[in-house]
Amino acid sequence: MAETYDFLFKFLVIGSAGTGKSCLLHQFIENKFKQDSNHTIGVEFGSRVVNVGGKTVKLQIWDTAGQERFRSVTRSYYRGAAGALLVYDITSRETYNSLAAWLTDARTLASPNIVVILCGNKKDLDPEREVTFLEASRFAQENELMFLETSALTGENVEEAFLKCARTILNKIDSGELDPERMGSGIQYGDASLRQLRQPRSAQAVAPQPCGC
Amino acid sequence: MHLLDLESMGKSSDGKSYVITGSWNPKSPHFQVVNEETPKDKVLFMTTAVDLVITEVQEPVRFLLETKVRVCSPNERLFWPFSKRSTTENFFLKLKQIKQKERKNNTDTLYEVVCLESESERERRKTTASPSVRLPQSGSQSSMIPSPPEDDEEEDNDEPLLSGSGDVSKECAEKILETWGELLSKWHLNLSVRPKQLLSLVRNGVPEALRGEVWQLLAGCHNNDHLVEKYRILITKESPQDSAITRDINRTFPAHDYFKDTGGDGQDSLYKICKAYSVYDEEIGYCQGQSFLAAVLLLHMPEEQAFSVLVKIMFDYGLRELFKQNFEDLHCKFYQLERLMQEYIPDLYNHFLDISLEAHMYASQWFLTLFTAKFPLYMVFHIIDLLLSEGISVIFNVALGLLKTSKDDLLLTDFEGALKFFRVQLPKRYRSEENAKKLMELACNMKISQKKLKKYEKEYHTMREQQAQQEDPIERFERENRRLQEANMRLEQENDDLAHELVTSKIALRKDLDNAEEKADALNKELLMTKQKLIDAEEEKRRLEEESAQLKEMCRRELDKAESEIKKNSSIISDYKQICSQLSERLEKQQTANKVEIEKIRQKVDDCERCREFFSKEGRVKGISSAKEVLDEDTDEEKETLKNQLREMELELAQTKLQLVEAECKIQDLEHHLGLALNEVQAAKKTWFNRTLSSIKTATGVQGKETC
Repeated sequence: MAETYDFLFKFLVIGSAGTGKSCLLHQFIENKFKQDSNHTIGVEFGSRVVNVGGKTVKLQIWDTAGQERFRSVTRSYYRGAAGALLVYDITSRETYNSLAAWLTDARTLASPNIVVILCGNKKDLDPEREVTFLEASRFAQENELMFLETSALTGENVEEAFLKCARTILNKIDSGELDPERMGSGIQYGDASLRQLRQPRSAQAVAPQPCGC
Repeated sequence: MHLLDLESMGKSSDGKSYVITGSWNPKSPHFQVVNEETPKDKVLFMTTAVDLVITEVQEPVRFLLETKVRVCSPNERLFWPFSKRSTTENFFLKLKQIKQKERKNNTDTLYEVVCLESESERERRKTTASPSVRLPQSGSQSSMIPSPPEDDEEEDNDEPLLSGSGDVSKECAEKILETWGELLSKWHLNLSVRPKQLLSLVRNGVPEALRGEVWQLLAGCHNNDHLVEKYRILITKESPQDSAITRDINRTFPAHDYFKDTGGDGQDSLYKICKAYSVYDEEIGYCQGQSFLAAVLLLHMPEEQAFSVLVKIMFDYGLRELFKQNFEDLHCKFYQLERLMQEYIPDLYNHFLDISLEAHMYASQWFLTLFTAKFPLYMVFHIIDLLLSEGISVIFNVALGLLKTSKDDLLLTDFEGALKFFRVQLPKRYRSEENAKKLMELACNMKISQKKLKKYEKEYHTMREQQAQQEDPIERFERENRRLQEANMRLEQENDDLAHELVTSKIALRKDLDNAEEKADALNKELLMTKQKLIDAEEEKRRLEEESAQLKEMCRRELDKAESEIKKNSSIISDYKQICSQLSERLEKQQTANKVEIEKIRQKVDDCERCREFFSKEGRVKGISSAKEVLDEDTDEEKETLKNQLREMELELAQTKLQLVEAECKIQDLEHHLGLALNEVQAAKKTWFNRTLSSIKTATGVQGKETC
């Protein structure tokens, strides 16, 4: 893998079951909609290199299972995540109502500085909408989240969601608000030399332990 | 060949198919052979043929279904598991159009049959290398359309393999079948003891056609009727995880024909099994991943039996342990796997350490779904064979087998590459049955002792304990504190929000109340006003009623009056009429009297000779004779003069009378004048006299004074 990049960000996709997390990831990575998808058991992984504000950033994205009981498995992936897509389904109030719990998980288990973007997915199903744009954006504002309504089916705002999240992280690095050197920041320098400097063991420490609850 | 009696023929009730029913007479000597138990050394075949006359095809077309038959005694267990699903056979009919000139009439297009082949024949032809026997199609798989083999080239992209893909053939060498047949009949003698050869036979894979039965026997479901009964009750109950199950059902085996249709039989059965299990096992309930295992079982046996086997795998084989206590046991399994890797494939273990790849990143599904979610069915079924035969630890064998065979590829990958390999390439590799077979062989040959696994388990638990102890308590408390603070903040925020909401809603309520009160007042006022109006209106009404009564009375009076008047008038009229009639009667009487008189006169005249001539018979006076005329004229003249004289005298009298009246008038006038004049005179007299008298008086008065 001769990819060169300036930064590596670890991302999470979280949210209740059936909100389209895997489809969002698939759309972002493959640029198409996954028609027959399985439900995610445990976690899935995807990565893509993107260009944000003149910098190449590699996004390593963990796509987590939505079923409540898998939280104990997926929690280990929170540590060391720099950004998260918090996904709900605009056609299901139930998925919207559980956002607060997901957010608490993200802020406590990942770093408190984790950059979270709220994604109201299934925008294409507007006639079946149960959650208005306004109330979700109010929720986002109150909890200092970015907010977009996305459609994994049409691809609308999917790329934007990931890029917006990455851009915010970059800005925070530039302003010094985020320190890539700090352990568990979920950010690594992509420079080949720097990568060499990083000992594998420290990477191990950054990566989640089997059940670190 | 024996012709069956046709029982019925026609469209099915749903109109989708055409049904032909025939019945055979078991007493017929032709069927002797199917009326007695088939000897062990005998192989029976039965062919059913249907001749169809097809429009535009000259000759009837004969469709043949050939099947192997074995007749068992009623107390022997059915060799083939019963299945509700019917046998389906596809036929390929090749037709040729008959050329124009060969045909007698050129109105219709006509065809002749070039060849007719069933799908199973076609497949048999493809695999003629081995003298295989097509099994009776007792069950499920015949309706599956095999995935085309060219998939391999077509799908070498980054798309991961869909769950439930790959076809599993039911074909099997006869020899193997026979061995299995013998083994099964031996096993059926004592189901509680597994036959000796079973283990090695299962390692080579259970023949697909036998899996339904063998799996149930391996799982120990042979006397599980109570569970079957229980299932029927369970499916009627509500599950709290209903929505989660429904959501996952059409995300299970979307690549398989039986499960791909929303609302189809497959999805329906799958839903019922998952729901029943979630009710049955309240502690675990429905867990994502279960549906894959249930689907695999459903492909081999009816719902109730599949449920029984699922329950066995979860409880007796210990799969449900993995789901308990926040997957604690699962993490232990990961540790065991990594330790085994360290022992069996140390270079790969070290590589994974280098790239920071941990077992939970790629092996969660392996354990939670027993490899059912990602791999081709051929391999999945074989893994279930092994699992049911040897227990849940075969997961380690298969996992290590997978890692070992992929070692060379994996050693070249980095973190992302390895994860992608596990996701995409690894399952695809086993679309080839050969690869899968090799893998299973390798897995079976891998000796993993239970003792070792136990040891690793112990290690894991001590390690966890140490971790818990080693962890800086301050750090732990800090973490805990942070979490609590976060929760606290969230709750406070929530509280604030709620308080705010409360206040605003209170204000809004107050406002509403005020508005409502105001409205009530206004309404009350209006009500009072309306009441007053009502009273007024009633009074008015009463008044009007009185008036109208009076008017009526008046009218009635008037009417009475008018009527009495009319009566009076009519009586007057009738009186008049009477008078008139009396008068006319009198007139008539007089007329008749006159006539009689005239008749008398005429008679008299007739009697008289002289006068006779003057009167005609008709009674008219005729002036025929001149003498009479002259005389008549004389009298007339005399009359005339007399009349004139009379008239003149009358005139004179009238004039005299007039003169008299005039005179009287004059007299009156004069009298009036006289009256006036008299009055004047009287008045004049008075004034004159008075004046004179007074003047005299004054004169005398003056004199008298002078004298005094």
